[in-house]
Amino acid sequence: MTQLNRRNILQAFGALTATTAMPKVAFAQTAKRPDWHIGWQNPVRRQLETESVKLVSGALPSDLAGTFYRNGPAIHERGGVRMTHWFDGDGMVQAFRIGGGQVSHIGRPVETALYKQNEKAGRFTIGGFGTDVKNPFPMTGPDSANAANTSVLPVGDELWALWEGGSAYRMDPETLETHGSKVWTKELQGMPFSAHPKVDQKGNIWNFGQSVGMKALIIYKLSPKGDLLEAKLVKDVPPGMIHDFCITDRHLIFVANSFRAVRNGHNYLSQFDYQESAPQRVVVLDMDDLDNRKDYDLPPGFQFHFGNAYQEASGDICFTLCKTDEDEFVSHSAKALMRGDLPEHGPTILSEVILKADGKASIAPVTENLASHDFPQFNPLFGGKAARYLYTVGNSMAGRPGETAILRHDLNTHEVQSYDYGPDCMVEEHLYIPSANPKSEDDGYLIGTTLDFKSKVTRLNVLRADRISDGPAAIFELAYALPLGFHGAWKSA
Amino acid sequence: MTHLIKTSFLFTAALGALALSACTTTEAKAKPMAASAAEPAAPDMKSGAATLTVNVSGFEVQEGNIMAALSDEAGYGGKPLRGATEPVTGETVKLIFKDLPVGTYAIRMFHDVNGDGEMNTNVFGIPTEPYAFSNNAAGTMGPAPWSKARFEVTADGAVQNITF
Repeated sequence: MTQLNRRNILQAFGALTATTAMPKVAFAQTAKRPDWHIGWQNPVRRQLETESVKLVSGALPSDLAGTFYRNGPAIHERGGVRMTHWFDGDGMVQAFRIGGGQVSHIGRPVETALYKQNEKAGRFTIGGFGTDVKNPFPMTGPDSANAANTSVLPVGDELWALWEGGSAYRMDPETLETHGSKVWTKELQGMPFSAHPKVDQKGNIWNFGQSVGMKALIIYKLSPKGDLLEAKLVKDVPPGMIHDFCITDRHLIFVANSFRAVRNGHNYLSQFDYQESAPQRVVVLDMDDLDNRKDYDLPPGFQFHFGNAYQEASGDICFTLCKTDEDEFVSHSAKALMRGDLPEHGPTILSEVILKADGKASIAPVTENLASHDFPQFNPLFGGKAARYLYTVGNSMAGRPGETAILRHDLNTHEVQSYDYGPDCMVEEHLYIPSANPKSEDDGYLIGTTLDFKSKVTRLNVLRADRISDGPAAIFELAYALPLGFHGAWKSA
Repeated sequence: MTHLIKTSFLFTAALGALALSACTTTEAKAKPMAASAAEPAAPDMKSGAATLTVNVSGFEVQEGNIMAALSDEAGYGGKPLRGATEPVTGETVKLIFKDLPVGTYAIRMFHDVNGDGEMNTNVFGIPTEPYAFSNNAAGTMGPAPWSKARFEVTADGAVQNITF
């Protein structure tokens, strides 16, 4: 296997220039699906296991020990039928166990009720987010469509596989065996528990679920072990799709964007329209008193993901998000990718919002580098505080989907450091892991996967957070490709 | 939580057609199905001679009650013609509707596991107690449509076997 370094990436860039000059010819001569489409195909097996993942470059830092979990839609095809939207395949959790210089890997499907039903029927039985399946099975609630395919959360001695519209699924963090859905009380049974819970500096877990029909949110406050401390219904939240949120050390911040549920639909997505004139509604709740609420309006927009949030001494609240002015990705690109067609969405702009104490709100790009950025991450020890650094996956490239680089944004100086994995790799979310005894905010590591669609392998990369541009300090390579996933979590050993 | 039922289900897609939410809300301003089921027969219901036997099975737990509502087309999703409540003490429960006129009917029922007389829902209005329909018909995100749940009661009567 070719070792990845900057020199051969530059060589590869050169090679790409040549091939993109005549993409149609190349396309016609190859299989009907482009090579990058491997990111949206089923895994090679349902049960993946590698005892010792091959180290292909560098060495693991000695103080990095724990498990890196990832989740994503993985069973995209059954009985010759493909899901038509990226968000709909059954989830599969990957666990990379890291320590003592070694990495092992296992991958298992999340055996939701839907997964079992699909397996028994030998076909997809319910579409879910954006796919319409033929002859669907009945649904008794959102959980009927729960693919548990979006993220994971280590809680106590469990690992929860998360979706957006239904229950968390409990898994064994060691074996990845699925144990069933998480139920706290009867009134919360089957309620949505989103894929982006936040852990505050006390270790408490905050999360939400949205009902666009009720124009409401359910807010969860859980203990570090996952016990329910508080559940609160918040009404009068406009039905803009809310995927993620952010927290300061005392606020929960939700943005109901301009992608609004406006009709009954044949699937979840088809209820929504991008409303170019609908302001984004920001709802700020006080962690200590969820009835204490303040709303702000922002110019129209759409985003999935948020960075950090904090409150200035002046009382202003600041947070970052990855914003677009369209719904092109969720409505069209996420279907095009499933077909093997190139997406055509516009860039996702890393932006900062300021909520003034006087009730005014503003939004502006963080950097002049308007290349697409998403999957924002920061040092979790600085969550809710004025963190200086934000890390994103970014930089797109003509002729192929996905991003090629990992970037570090200095929010004070606006300096950007980046490392480009090259034209053959699609870069996935990289998590920030503080070093064992951090001496500064950026004393830590970034860990993330890349899918090399030419070599058909997934790599696990570890970078020094303060030296992104040096490239990975260690690269491990699986003998197989994993379908592209969404989000991950780290659990220290 | 019954005031939330009207706007139940995350997938509002299905809301329009849903008799289950209708049977808990449309009639009697969000009165739960149980209350409707317990209503006396509508005064204009003519008496007949046919008997409908309903055998219910497939309980997750043998406790609480089966609460069932028998309707004609006009009342499906609204006020039922008759209601029935039977305790769940074994693997099957038998409901008998006597003196019915020959005609077309449908049954909605739920297993009131905790015996509080209401079809319980979560905070977003999604049922948390099992429900079922005649012909074992099912809906999407809610009640089975009349067209799937309807059945004939003839002069010889009828038998419905419903499994949760």
